[in-house]
Amino acid sequence: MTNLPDEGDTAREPITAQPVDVRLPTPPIGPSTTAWQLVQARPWVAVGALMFATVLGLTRGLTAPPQVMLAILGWGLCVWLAVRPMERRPAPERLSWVGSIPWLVVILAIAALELYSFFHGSTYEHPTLSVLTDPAFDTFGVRVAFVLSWLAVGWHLVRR
Amino acid sequence: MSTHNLTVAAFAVILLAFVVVDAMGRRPHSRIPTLSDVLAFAMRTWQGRVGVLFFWWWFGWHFIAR
Repeated sequence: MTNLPDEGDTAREPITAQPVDVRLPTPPIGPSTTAWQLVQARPWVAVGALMFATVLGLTRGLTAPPQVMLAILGWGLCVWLAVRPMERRPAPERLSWVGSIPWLVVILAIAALELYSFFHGSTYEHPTLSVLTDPAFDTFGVRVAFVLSWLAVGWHLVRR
Repeated sequence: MSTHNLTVAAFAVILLAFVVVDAMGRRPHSRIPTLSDVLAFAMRTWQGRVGVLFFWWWFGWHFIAR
C-alpha cells in the first residue's frame, strides 16, 4: 500500500491549503464564573496570579516590596472597577432577619475576641489571630497559598 | 487551661462556626443566607461595595505585609 494515487483514482483536484481555524472559542466570562473557571478560560490570568503570589511569597512582612505590590494591586483594582464596571450576579432583595442572626453572632464573636486580645496587648497569653498565624506566614508555601486564595475570594467579591 | 489555649480554642470554634453556618445556608429552603449572599446584600450600595472590597484588601495586606 502506497500513498500514490491509483490509476483509476478520479479525484484529481489539487489539494489546496485551506486555512482552518482550530482555535477553540473562548468561553465568555460571566458573573457566575468561578476563579477556577476563569483560570481555565484565561490561562494567562493563572500565570499572572501565580507569579504575583510567588513574588509575594518570597518577600518578608514589613518591608517595602510587599507594601508596594499590594498598594499597586489595591489602586489598580480601584481604577479597573471604576473604568470597567463588571457584570455582577444579582444580589438578594432582602435577607431574613431571623436567618441572619447566626451570622450576626459569629461576626460579633470574632470581632469581640479580636478586640479583647488586641486591648490586652496582643501577647502570647492574649493572642490576636494575626499573632497566632505569624509563624505560619513565615513559610513560603503558606504565603503563596494564602495569596492565591485571597485573590480567588477577591474575584468572587467583584462579581457579587 | 491557660488563657492562650482558651483563646486559641475560641478562635477555632468561631472559625468552625463560619463553616457550619455557611453550610446550613446552602441547604435547600434554608432561611439562613450564605456568606456570599450576606456580602452581596452588603454590596448593593456603592458604599457597601467599597467597604467590603476595602476590607478584603486590608485582610490580605494585614497578613502578608506584617
